[in-house]
Amino acid sequence: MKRKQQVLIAGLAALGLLAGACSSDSESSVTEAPVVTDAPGVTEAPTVTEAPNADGDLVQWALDYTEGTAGMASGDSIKIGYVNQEDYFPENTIGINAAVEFINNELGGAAGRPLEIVPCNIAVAEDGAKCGTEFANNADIAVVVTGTILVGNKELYDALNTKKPVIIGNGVTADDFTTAAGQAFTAGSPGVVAGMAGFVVSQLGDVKNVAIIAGNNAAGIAGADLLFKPVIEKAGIAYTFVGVDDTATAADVASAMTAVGAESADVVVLIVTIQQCINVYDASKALGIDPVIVATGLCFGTGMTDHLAEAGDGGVVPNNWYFGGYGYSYFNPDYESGMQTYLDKVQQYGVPSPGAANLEYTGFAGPEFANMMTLAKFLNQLGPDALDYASIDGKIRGFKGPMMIQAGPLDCGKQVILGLPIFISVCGSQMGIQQYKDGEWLSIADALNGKPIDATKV
Amino acid sequence: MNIKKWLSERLKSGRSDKPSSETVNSVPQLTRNLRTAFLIVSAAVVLWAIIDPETRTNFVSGSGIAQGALIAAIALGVVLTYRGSGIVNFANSAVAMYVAYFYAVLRRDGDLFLPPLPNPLAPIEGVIHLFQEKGAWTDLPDWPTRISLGNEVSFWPALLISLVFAMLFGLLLHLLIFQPLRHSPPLAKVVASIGLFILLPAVIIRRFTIQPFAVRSMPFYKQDAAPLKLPFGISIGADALTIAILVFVLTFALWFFFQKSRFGLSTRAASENEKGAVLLGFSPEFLGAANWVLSTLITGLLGIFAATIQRSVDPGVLPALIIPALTAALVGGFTSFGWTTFASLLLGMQFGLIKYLEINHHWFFKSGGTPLPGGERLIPLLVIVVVLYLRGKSLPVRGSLSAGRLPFSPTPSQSSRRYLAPASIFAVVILALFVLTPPFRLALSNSLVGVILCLSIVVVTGYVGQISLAQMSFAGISAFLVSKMTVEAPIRLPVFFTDYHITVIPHMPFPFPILIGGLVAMAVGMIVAIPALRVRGVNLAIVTLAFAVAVDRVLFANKSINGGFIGAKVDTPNLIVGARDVQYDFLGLTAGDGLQPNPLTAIFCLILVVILCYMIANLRISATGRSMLATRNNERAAAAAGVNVAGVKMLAFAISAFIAGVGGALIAYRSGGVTTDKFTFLQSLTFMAFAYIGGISSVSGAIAGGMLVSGGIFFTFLTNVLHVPSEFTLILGGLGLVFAAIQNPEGLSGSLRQQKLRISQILTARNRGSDELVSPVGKEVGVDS
Repeated sequence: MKRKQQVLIAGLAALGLLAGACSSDSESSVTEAPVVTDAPGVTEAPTVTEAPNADGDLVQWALDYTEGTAGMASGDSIKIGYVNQEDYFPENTIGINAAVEFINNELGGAAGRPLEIVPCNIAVAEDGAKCGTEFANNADIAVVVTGTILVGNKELYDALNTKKPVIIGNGVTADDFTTAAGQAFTAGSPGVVAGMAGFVVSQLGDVKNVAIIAGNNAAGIAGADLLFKPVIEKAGIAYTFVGVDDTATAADVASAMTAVGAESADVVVLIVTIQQCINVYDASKALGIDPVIVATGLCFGTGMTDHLAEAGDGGVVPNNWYFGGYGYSYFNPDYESGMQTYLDKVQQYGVPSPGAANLEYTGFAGPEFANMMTLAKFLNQLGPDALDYASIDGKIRGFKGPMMIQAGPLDCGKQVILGLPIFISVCGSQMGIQQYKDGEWLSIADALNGKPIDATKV
Repeated sequence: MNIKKWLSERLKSGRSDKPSSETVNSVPQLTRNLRTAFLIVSAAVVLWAIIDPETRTNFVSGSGIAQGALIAAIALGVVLTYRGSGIVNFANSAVAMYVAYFYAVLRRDGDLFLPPLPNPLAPIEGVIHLFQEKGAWTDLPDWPTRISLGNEVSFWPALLISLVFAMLFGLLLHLLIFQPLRHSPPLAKVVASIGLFILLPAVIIRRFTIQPFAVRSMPFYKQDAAPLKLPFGISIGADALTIAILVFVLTFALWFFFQKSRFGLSTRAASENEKGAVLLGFSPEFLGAANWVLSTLITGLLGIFAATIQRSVDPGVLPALIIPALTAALVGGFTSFGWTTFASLLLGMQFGLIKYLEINHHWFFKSGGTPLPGGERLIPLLVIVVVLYLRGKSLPVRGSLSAGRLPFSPTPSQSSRRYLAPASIFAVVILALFVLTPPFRLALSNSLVGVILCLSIVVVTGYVGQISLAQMSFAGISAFLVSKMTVEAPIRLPVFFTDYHITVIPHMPFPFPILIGGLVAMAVGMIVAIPALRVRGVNLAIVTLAFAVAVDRVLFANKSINGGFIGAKVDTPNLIVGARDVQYDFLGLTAGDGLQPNPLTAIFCLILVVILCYMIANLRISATGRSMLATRNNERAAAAAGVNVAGVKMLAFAISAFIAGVGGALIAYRSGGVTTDKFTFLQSLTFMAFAYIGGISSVSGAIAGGMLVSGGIFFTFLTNVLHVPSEFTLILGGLGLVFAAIQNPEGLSGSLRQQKLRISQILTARNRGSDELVSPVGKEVGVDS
């Protein structure tokens, strides 16, 4: 018994040591020191459609957008609460940290003061309430910006509602688009999915039948049912639908694709995670089929690019796939939307996520960078003496755009998508479709060619 | 006659001694008749699927075969581990994933990655930080996260190093975890393997995030090769075909090895009769270790191949294969490699067929006009239940007593169960609410809900010995029901196989939905208990786990249950809404500080906790409680003593599910809505983990377990005081679970109780002038098992 107790004590001590180790272990790495690279993380550099602007022009664009003053920020910092599910979506943090560094170092900060991020990570569902109460109770926190969160969203928003202004970063769950606590400056997944449906119906030629593959979860199924099917049903297009688990294997997905008739469908629509996008790509190869695929922006990122490289196919994303996004392109960067400024600065200030070899600047990183720039704009407009809840919240809800790297005007809380007035936290309604073809990104229907799709009008 | 020949004849004749343990006996071989029946049914299904041209494409497909091979890859390792050590390794798929990561990182980056390790400098760093300003902290060296071997490593060296790692990993798992548990009850083994199942993906997520990690393809494949065309119109990729062939070859090799080799025969002998094997000169320890090494070697090899055909690996996909793999292993009786592979293949192939039938036939698995999500998950559950129910016995066979001692279940003293404990809990918590800071107030509320859920596990597992891994499913069913009862009227439940809905209950005022939710969960619990009447030990764990997965993927993913974009809202009474910054004055004292969370939320939770703890403490000393403990100890003896074993099990499941249902309802009210993430099968495993660490067989254990849950007091202390990031919750939980299973099966509360007894004995001995001490356990009051 004595020995057992000693072992117990030793074990608890080891746990304590581990606990100590854990707190610092994640912060640094001997062999994986963060490296700021000039090259983008993906294997292909963006195809710039026009001559890149000089750094001065890019900074000037940012100064114009944020209404800031060139130079470094000084004084007491303005604290911004930042909530993200870091294990799943670390690219949000890349975008937000790069923006803060840029704003503080070159744009004179916000309201003349530097911005400071106070992070709160969501690891388990209970962290939603924890982060919410922590920020709601902290008088020093001026605004809360969220990244992408899969669990604990409702508790987070409930705690922050009417206590702190909230900018919803890259929402993916129903709560992100239906909460009264904050606003998302993008069209969000409701806008993107409905826009994809509009694209399939009106711009993809003679479509007779569609196979829909969605995540076997609340958001995936609801997205397909409420935002996609009604549009194609109205257009008289036949469809089949299959749900796949987030943990499905490529073989599972191949079976699902066979069952849903992907081989004979005119279009296959994907509303799934990047792992399942990869599986769809592999399954298509295994089945020897080459369907027309329309996917959400979740399907591109370093994971997909690395996968294509390992598969020997190369490219940034699978060839010929269409992608729904927020209207501009990381790969065809233009000056006016701020995309060139974003790409330049994220590569200058961005730091790869722990464990990642490359800087992931695509996916959610861009919109999060833009959110922070927009917040700086609001704070500059308000000035240092009006950084209270009502003023900042009023600015957020009253923002009409234009929004950095996001298509179209905004109308926060008033977007009615497919007759559904439930998306009260969605500001944007426009989205874009781009296609990756033979190593080039083509603007099919987006803000770059002046034909973005308005989800409220499909 | 040499030993090999004798063993071979002995095993062939089936005249081996009766298995001596519950573990061995609870996983009997399929009887010849059942095998025949299974074969006929399977053959009929296969025949129908092949003959019908409509279904042939979806059933006999390359993807189905590939998926079956992946399942078999995991299942063979499960069978191998079981044959060698008597342990059903729930973590086998996680081991495959871990080895696959090891290989992928080595191959692509030329690095050996290391898990988070205890840093001996961390405490020093912590002390230094106390004297430094925030942001100017000294950063002492940490362990490296990787050891670089240079640039990328080519295929064969990477494979070799990875397989050596797999073997060492298997040996370590055996020596550190499973060998010490050799004579422990099935519960401890299940708990340890669940701990690993939680720990390994958590380590990977810390190192690589959840994003897919690209895996280099094998050099002998043409990357752009077209799929191969096989008979019956099967189209299959060369890599998928390779793993399928590899699985078949390994299946045959393992069968041959265990039939013909001295090692294989001795392993079989040891698994059938360990004492007999020892008498014949075999070392069960050696056999166990060798089989673990062999198991992780094969699992690792197949894991690498599986990741290669996926061309990526992530912490979710491979571990999720454990459910169908356990199903297949179960069909194979945890002994037959051939049957296991055959069942794996069928399970892999049924996926496409079920999906096809769902999509294309109106009569099949529908809800709201669309295919029922996760319908294919029902098949493994159905197979498990049918196979186990038919093979199980209402009472264990003679001689199959439970191996090892289940955690001690102490008798609460009369004063404590009547007055002292409830009053103490009330006083401490109320006092705490007055003094705690907001983060700890929130943590207390989380812990109180955790206590209720742990309490539900105490009843069914601690008191009756039935391992239920579906507690959060019961909680979820209640929670979603609460949502329907408080917000939506009337409630609409989908009727599977049809497109109709039924109206059940109109609006329901608070707090009645909690009671109704509990009662419905109780009814579901009683249905789940039916297999428990004939199935026990680890087999029951598998049944309940399959049930949890099916509920998770079929019921909770259903939009008519989860509310789709609208969500499943709950109309929480304003008084207990957590996100309110209020304070209450009472007798000159102020509860709360005008900040969130609302202290009344915790007080409401507290009231329910005290009522339930009081009931369960009294249940323990009642005649019913004694019947439960007798059933846990020895079902045959209990039955001989007049205990209605079936009734006791049914009652335990009913009470347990009711309590879990109350916990689920409470979660719903606290959150103001219900989301599926709180009620997944992984959550059930996690709560089992915390309940076990706290002490699974007593009310005080449930209270200790509640303190340990995610977001509870313990983790809030870790994050707010010791500044351990919350992303380490699962790593610490998994590690604590493994450690608790080995070193402290009675949990924290049992440990504290023993310390208390020891001190009292020291004091008593000193009073008597004697230094002689007696075993503290021997002095404890109550019925031990």
